[in-house]
Amino acid sequence: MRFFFRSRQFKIIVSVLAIVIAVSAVFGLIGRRMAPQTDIAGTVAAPVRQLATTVKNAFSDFITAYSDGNALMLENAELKSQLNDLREKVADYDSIKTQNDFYKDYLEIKEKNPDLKMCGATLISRDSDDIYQGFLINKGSMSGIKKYDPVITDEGLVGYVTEVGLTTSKVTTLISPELTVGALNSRTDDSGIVSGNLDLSKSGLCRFSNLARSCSVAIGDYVVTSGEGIFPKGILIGSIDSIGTDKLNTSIYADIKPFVDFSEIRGVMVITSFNDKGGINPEEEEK
Amino acid sequence: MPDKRKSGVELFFINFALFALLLLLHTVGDSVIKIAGATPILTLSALIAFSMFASEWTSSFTGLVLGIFADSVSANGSLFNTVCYLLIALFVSVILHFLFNNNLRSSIAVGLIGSVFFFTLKWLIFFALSRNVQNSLPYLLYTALPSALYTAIAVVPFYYLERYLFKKYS
Repeated sequence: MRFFFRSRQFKIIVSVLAIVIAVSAVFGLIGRRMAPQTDIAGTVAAPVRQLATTVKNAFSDFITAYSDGNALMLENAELKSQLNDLREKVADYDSIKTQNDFYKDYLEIKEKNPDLKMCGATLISRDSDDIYQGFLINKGSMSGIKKYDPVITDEGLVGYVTEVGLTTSKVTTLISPELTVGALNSRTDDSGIVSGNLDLSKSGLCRFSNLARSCSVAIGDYVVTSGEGIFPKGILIGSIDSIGTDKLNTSIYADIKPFVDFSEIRGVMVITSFNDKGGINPEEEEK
Repeated sequence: MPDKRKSGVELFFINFALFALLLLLHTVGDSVIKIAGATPILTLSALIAFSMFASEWTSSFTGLVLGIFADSVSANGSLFNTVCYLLIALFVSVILHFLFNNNLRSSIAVGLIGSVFFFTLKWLIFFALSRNVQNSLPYLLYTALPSALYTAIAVVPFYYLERYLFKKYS
């Protein structure tokens, strides 16, 4: 074995490993981009992954239709659509009237918010080992996507872009502890921070924390983005599922059930630009 | 001689197809063979079994390429899988050629060492040392280690498959 570790083969393997680490570090830390070897692999594999995801979705639809009945599936889709409409109406009634129609569809989002520039993208693969249900989309820097761009669906906030390649990007979801969102209770305007945590991620929830003890949040209230930091104001996050107090009994937190079902996502919109981007810039924060 | 080369090419294509299929299955969505929180990484199981028969050079290269493709979709950055897959493949190949006999017991042993190394390192880097994650020990006990065990068990069918393939085509 000693001979192997002194061999030319071993030295080449170690050199290749060192080069890969160095290149990834340079691109990741300085360039804030996906490492080139990963980017190339992602680009090469993207069409195959897209095809596989399409086949899987078709198969999944077929199984659903077969097991539950096509009628049930259609009814379910219609009910979901009605539920989304109702959610929008309640949020509208509560506070942010101008932002409400935002969610009817993407076209209206653009009409009401001309400053928002969006880019449609399709989910092409998931890391089934990722407990936070992150995924890969088929658009990258060539489509104008940058790191930290917000990702939404017509149901609400999904997360943000964490790694950008030329033709693919990785999305981190709302239930990941990596993501922190300034948020408001749409009914009472109480503000706080929404972020994920390891325990809650198992049940697909995230936490609305740092709420003042005097606040009047209630179960069922809707939570929207406050517009601070990297997310535009008024994007639906989810509804309050339960309420508790922190360990020191100094503030209140609420667990939120996101409106977006991360396991069912097929297409998303990436917000590539909007006015009034808040003061919290994650890049500056990291520096 | 041409027959031997032809066999080598066939072996390459069969393994290429196997790894591509496993990677696709891993990235297409929820794993159907998930038990509670434990998800086996079949690409890692297949790589360990492959490295038991292939040379150090071939194993390392396969680990590197497989890791890069796994990283292209992984939520854990662009390096973790590349480094881990390469190191595990190299370790398995070296240990099997110089220390262990190549048999079923060895496959379970190296499978367990490789997968425990992978999942423990993942927990350490992305959970235990992450400032955003609190109380990560339950993840190690109830998700990472069962997944490692599951991955190690999954090495066994791949061991028999690779043994058959290498016998037939080498």
